[in-house]
Amino acid sequence: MLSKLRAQSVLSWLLYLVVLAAVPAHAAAPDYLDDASYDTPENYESIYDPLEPFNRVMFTFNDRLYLWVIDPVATGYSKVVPTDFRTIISNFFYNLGEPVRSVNCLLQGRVADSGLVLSRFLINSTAGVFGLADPAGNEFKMKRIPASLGQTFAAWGIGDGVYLVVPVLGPSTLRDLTGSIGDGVARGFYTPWSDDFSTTSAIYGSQTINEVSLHLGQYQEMKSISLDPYVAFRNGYFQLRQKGPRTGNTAEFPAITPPDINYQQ
Amino acid sequence: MRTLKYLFSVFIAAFLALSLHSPAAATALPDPVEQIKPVITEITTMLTEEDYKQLPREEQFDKFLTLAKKRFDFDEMSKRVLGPQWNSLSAEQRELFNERFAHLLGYTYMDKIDTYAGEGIQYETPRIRGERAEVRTTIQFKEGSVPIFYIMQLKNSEWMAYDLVVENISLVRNYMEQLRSILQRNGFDGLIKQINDKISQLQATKK
Repeated sequence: MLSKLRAQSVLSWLLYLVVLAAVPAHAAAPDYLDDASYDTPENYESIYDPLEPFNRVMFTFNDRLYLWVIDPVATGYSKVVPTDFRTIISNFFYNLGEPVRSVNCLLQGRVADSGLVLSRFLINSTAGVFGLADPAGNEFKMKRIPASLGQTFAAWGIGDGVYLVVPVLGPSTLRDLTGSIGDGVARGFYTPWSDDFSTTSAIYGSQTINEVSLHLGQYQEMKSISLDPYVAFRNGYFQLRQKGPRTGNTAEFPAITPPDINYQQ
Repeated sequence: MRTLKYLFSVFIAAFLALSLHSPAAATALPDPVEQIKPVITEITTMLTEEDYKQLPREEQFDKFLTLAKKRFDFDEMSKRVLGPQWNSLSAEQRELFNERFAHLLGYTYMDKIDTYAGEGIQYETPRIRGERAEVRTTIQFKEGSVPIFYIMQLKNSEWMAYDLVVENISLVRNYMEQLRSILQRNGFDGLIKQINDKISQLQATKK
């Protein structure tokens, strides 16, 4: 019975992907020296936002959630917990995602990257004590390599579908939300706490608080300089996605922080 | 045989002359880093001065803008940020928009770097193609580093910046999308009003 159910759901997922595939994937990293990157900005073609009214409501919801709950909690947390310790926690969660990233690299045909990510995981899990430190990055100069299922879908030619502001999670697209859920499920296979929804949410919540505490004030800053914050964040989200090694999304969970804004090149 | 030798040496000479000439021609372009670095240094030094910190915010901004105008081409920015809409504006409207947008972008940039306390700025080797250049910098703050790229254009052997890419987000492209929908909804006057409101908000916040 269970296997029948599973087969059915796999089938429906495949169908869903075929539907998504009808919308073509788009655009490589922008080259600022090329005027075309200004004349035809990504938004003309690929920011398809038919759900704007709904998205704006969700944007406001997330905004309040961020300003009233997450930010104050993260601020308090940042006062109690020293930065080093918060970096350690962030490293730990990042390291847990490496196997999924490695598989995604493989699915995208980035074989060398896949090996690098796996080596990072092995080094950091052993020499870095369960991923608490990042000796692979610091000692072996192996930089973090972003990879997500959304990006894999993009590499396969699957388009974004529509732009979505997801409650709690923040800006995404139909394809990338699907990818994020897929990545989360894949992680669940080897993270012991994932069979219980409330534990998963609690872990996700604390992970978000921890990430936000490392980037305090960035959201407010971006908002304060924008004439239309909704459009500014939508455009920022798409611009950040474009800088990846391939087309598609490199932004990962947690997405409620202004999407991966502190990403170091 | 002799003529052949002669021809050959002429050919070699010409080849040498040409090969020597081309790198010389390439270096004739001024170095964008050399041009923008002094201005950024001037600005960041000014921001850390005590006298400057005592000034009211509007005066701070005027001083900042005077310096910034040496290397920032606000006319070009305004033109780019409005895209095709630029052509439909009258001369006065363009002038007004230039001036207001310079303020908006100026405050954005100034607030981005005004917590800088002299921790250091790294400049990478610029990328140049034709008359465009990208200067990548990383500015160090106490709480971390922020990548800022300056996208520049050569005008009469002066490199002038027309876009700022802060933390991988191009400000011109970001404002471009915001302005387009505002212009469609509220027209030019509505846009100017909204920019003015934003500027007064920015003037009121901080310090």
